[in-house]
Amino acid sequence: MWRRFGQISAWVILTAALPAFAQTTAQTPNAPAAPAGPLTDDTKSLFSPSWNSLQILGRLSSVSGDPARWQRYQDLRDGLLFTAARTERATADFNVSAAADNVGWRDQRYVGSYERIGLFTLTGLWDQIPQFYSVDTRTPFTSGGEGVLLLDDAAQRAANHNVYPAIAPQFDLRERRDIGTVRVEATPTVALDVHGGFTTTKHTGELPWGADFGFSNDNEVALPYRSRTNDFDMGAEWTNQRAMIRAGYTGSWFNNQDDTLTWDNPLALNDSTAAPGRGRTALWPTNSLQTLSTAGYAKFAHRTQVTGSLAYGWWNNNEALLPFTINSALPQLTLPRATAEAEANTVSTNVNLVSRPRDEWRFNARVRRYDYNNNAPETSIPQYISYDTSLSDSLTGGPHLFAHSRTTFDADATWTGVQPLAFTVGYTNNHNGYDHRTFDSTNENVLRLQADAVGSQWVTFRAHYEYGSRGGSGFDEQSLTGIGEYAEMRHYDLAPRTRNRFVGQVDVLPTERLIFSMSAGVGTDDFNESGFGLQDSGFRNVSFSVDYQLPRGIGVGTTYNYERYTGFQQSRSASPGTQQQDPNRDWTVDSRESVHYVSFFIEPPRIGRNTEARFSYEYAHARGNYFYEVGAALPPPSQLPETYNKLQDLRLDVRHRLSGRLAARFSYQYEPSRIFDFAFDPSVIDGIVQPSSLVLGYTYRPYTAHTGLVGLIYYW
Amino acid sequence: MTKCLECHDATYESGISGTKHGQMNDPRSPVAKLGCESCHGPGQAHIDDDAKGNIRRFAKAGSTAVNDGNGACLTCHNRGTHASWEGSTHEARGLSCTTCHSVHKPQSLQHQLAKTTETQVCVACHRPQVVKTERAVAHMPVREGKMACSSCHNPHGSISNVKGLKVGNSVNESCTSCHAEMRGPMLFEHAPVRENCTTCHDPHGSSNDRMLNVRMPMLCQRCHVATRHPSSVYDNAAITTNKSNRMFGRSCVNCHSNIHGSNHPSGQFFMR
Repeated sequence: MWRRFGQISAWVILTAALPAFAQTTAQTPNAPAAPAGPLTDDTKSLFSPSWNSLQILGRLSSVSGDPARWQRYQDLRDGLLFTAARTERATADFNVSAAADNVGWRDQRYVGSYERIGLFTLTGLWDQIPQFYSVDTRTPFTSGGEGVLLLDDAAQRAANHNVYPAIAPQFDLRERRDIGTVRVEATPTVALDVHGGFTTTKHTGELPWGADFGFSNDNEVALPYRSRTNDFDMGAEWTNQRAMIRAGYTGSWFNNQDDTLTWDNPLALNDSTAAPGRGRTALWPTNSLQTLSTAGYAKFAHRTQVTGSLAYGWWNNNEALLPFTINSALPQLTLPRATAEAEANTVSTNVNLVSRPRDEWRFNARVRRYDYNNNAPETSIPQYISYDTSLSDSLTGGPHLFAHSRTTFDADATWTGVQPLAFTVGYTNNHNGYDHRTFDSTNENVLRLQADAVGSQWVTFRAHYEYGSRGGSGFDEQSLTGIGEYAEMRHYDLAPRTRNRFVGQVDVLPTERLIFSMSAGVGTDDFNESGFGLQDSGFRNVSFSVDYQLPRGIGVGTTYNYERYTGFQQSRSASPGTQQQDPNRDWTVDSRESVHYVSFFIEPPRIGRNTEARFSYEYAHARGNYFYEVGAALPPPSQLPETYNKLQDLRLDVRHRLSGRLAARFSYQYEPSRIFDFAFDPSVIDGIVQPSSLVLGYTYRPYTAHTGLVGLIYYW
Repeated sequence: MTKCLECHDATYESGISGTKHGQMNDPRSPVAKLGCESCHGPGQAHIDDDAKGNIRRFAKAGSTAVNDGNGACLTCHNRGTHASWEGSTHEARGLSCTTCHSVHKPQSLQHQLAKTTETQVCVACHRPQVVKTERAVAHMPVREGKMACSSCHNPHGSISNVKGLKVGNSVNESCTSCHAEMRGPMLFEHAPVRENCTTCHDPHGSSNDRMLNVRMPMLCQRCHVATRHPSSVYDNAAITTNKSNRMFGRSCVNCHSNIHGSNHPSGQFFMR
């Protein structure tokens, strides 16, 4: 039938192109009539991306294990699939294009563009991104309206987690983003561009969320989530051959429609001074960020360019503050003010200079500063209600107004006197300032050495070495000891650190069709002055790949990649008092993750004139180990089991020309995934009732999926 | 251009026609300016040359110096997302425009890439980052085709941000352009959250839930070793025998749910 359909299509296009057809036949009266349609150009692979085509496919799959992890950001249910539709019409005056994928499914996407050549371009996008968490989830909570989760009163009164499994039905835990965008870019003159855009993102669904009442009454709920973010931007840019200047505005407004969560206590029906009947928490607050920016560059003699930017941002969240607790049995503390009045502004400046005064020299210098100024009022909250359960004294007296600034100076010099080599020496100084952190400021000096060989036809070589030394000043011991931490703790994001890193890559091209590539990297961060916390971390990776490509899409290639990440940290297990001074209570954990990745693909020659095939296989296997060592005063640890995740992805795709407009497609995908994580393993989360918790039953489970696609590709 | 097509018509037809470079009505396009010579320079010497040299070529590795070839492209591509090229990482490392793009034989439908997809282009040098998007546990939807490297990065550099990030003026401004719920500001803030998302998360993918750099509770215990539960050893007994709610599932954030900041007056420890 499909061949007949192709013959009909060929007849239609032949009729439409009659004059050309007549001319051709007149010139070569004995030549057979070629089938019409884009596929008559048989130098073009059926796997090449192509405008003016669409695919109508039937999808049939079989999955054992966890269907949610298999689908994750996709909708892979069985059914008819209308996808990969691409159309474009180009004339001398305009271009119109449109694309559609997975029409009607949860992960559908549409893109459209209209370009009036030389005047403006209008583009639009609609994209849905699902996120499928689990089908194993169960919950006894039911919706009581916006942001309210209720439990059965009798079950609450029973005050026993074990009554809940019987009233906790299964549900699919999923969320989704719907993103719509419209953009216009216009060119009123040769030198001037103006642009504007609007994006709206709706985020709906449910998330796993911890909603607790204390150490022995921890609950996991499916957090209802509905939000919308609207983003708007506009700007103008003027450019000529010597300079560019632009100015722009961006505004982003996030509106959380479920900005509080109120949920029942599984172990208490009514409020009391021992426990609340329900809890209430604030969720992500509605907020906005607006930024005005300007940027530009100017070109000077000696191939010198100075580029700069300046941006000023306003951050705002002024949501009403919730009362300290919803527990009516507890005293109500006076709110410090009615609304959050959380405000900040940012100032970002960049100046970059690039100069090539001589052919063999390139110089680059950059100064960058970013200030985050917290403008919220000082707030006194000396007491608060912990878990809606008990009155507690604050260790800090209220929120810290965290603020920071970053100043970076970079300078590089590159010498290319021996072609094709380029040698670069660089220096970076990072100077950061902090409010309410353990250090007032940190200062880091970084030396960088690079060697590149990119102009050779046979070999491309890249190497980068970096040595950095970071120190801190203005250490505030009270900021640690005041909240019960050790004075020897150093937070690793600003702790004194020595960094050594090397990454390199060599590509060898014996012929223009064959590429051998090898890359490697190694690096360590030593936190030399950290008595507690992260002591060191490191990475190693090595990669090999071979690619052999012939014309018309024929090729074969393989890749192997190995990564290893390590971290070593130290702590002291102690109760307040003398234990805090006992080094025999110190313990360490050595974290190691290694990952092997292998990929392989074959793009074989055509089978006959009309059949093409592609085969690919990927294998990723990650393993994580955590090894404890403890001091003499602590009991010997029971070591954690190794975690792992393994993903294989085998794909076979066969396409066959049926006519000048039509091709058949058959594809098969085999995707087994194996996973073990002790925190999420079904052997640990063996029900929704845990010793001190009521959870959703969200676990990590393996799956094996077979997916077949059969259908047609139509070209016009 | 007519002269060029006497020898180069096949290349021309397969590459320029229908692309931005071939739009006669766009005064910025090379076709509307000097035709082939807009990019390849004066051609008379090439015509007169028996060996057919004496012309600017844009091969990945060839006779034309990278800066000369790039300079020809930058004559027009000197605005918008390309305005940040000078001083960018890729420029500094000597990449040519034709390392990633092919004007005459593009393999992609958009952006005239030398490979079919963006990922195939980027992986040539950034394999560790691309491989992370294949993690079974937590990854951005790159392998599903919902995102690409350029969703976050501008390969031509960034005037205002670091790491070639194309939105905002800091890592956090880039991340929260999609994850606006975490943006704040909030009443109670968590300092590393405010300063840099990558202190805790690996944006390319991870073997840990929520794309964390290291699993919890170890991640949190890298900064929090105060007395009592933050400094406890959470070993295998904590998970198999005791089933501690500080260990299973979402670990520390089972209780400290608002770890990205709290707007609740009782939210000092991010539990409300």
